[in-house]
Amino acid sequence: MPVPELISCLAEPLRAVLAGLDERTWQQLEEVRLRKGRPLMVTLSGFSFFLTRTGKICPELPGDALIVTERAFAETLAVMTKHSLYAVEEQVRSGFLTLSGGHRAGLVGRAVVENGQVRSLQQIGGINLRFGRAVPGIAVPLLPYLLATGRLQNTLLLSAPGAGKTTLLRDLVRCVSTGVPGLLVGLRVGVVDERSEIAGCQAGVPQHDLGPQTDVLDSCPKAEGIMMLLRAMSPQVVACDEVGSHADVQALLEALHAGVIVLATVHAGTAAQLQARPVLRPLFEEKVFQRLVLLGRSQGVGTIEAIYDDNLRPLLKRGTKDVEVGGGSVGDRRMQWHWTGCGGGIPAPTGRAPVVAYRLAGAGN
Amino acid sequence: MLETEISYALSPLTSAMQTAACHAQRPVANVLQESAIRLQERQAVSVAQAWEVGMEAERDRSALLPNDRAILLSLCAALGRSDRSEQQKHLRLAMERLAQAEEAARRAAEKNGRLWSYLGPLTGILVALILI
Repeated sequence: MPVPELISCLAEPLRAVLAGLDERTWQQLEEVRLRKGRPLMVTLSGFSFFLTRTGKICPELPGDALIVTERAFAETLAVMTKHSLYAVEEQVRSGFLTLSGGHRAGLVGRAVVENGQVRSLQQIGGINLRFGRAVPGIAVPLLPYLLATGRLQNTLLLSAPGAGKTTLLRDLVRCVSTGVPGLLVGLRVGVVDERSEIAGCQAGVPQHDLGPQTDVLDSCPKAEGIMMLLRAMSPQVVACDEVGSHADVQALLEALHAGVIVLATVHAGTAAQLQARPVLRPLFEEKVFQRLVLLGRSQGVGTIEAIYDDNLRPLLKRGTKDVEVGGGSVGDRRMQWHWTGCGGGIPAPTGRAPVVAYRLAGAGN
Repeated sequence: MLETEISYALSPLTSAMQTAACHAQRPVANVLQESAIRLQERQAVSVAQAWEVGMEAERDRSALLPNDRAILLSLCAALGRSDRSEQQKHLRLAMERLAQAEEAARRAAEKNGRLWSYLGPLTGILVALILI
């Protein structure tokens, strides 16, 4: 049960209230936000709520709101850093901490700047505990759409923040690395995990299952990491999160021209928004991504809104009749994929339920 | 020892304390060991609290003066709560203050001859902090 693990770092009074939340609330829980001296807030399915001292959820600030006292905040931070802020200095400087179980804590405080660069973060005043969910099996139904003549296509997952890109990428990596019987043979995957979010590595060990032949380069800048992986680990697939800078794009192009398959994510609410970003233009000019998967929240976190090809022609769109994909028609099934909650709502093109597909994949090893 | 573990090895504080305990003598070793266990098992919410409890348990075996306790407690209040360079500053300041206290004690002891009861544990702490 991942619930107590996420809140085990919280100070006792806060932990007690959160531990009392019901199962349904826990399924919807995305974030717990602590601000020193202010009310604790939780994010449930994208919406922010206050908690009372008795654990009642309120959209408006209640009179008996659960306040994060200075003492509770200090204790939480101390436990989170194992009383050793100096040992996680590099992560703190980047504004986050990786917690055991693959969860993350975003941090804000007073930045100490030296030569125009943030040297450290002091007087930390806010913590955002982000629930890192691994949902094994969610990528299995998507995989057939990412294949053409049996070969995995370069794929870009796009959405606004918090729609489940990283969770989907994580499972995609696991599937590609493990292989899916009858669909895809397992491949060597190199992951550049700049924000330690895909694998959630702790002391070099991924906290999430990324498959048997996945190498993780943790906390490494993407551009440099991609080149390091190409030189050192001869990956067949390279995966990275949140492509955004010119250097990232150049490194991706380098990998693509080296014959490596690329799986990446990017922040963009629509395909048009993506095209409007000048930094990403070379990726479209060279039509390097043959599949673009647009995620949204219309049916909950992780709803697959559309899949496009390299000409931005929609191959599949939620709520419309689909078109031919990967050499075979999928029929006129209405697309309503989403995997929030217990994740049962994804109609698999192969007719298999995601969980069963995952078990088959596991048995193949 | 603590300084090396914190500044160079970047060991988590509890394992740094345990390593230092291996190189220190009683009663300091006991205080370090006890404090580390208390922190690991979340019986103490802060380093200062863990240290205070550990020191209290060894009160009879040590001859620390209130001033020395205050120096160590103010060090503990800062341990693990800032970045590497800040930690180094706190450790060095504490060592300097302890050395001054030792010097003052030595002078006092020359007068009243009670040097040994005091100097032993204090030197132990100094060795634990300085060993590099």
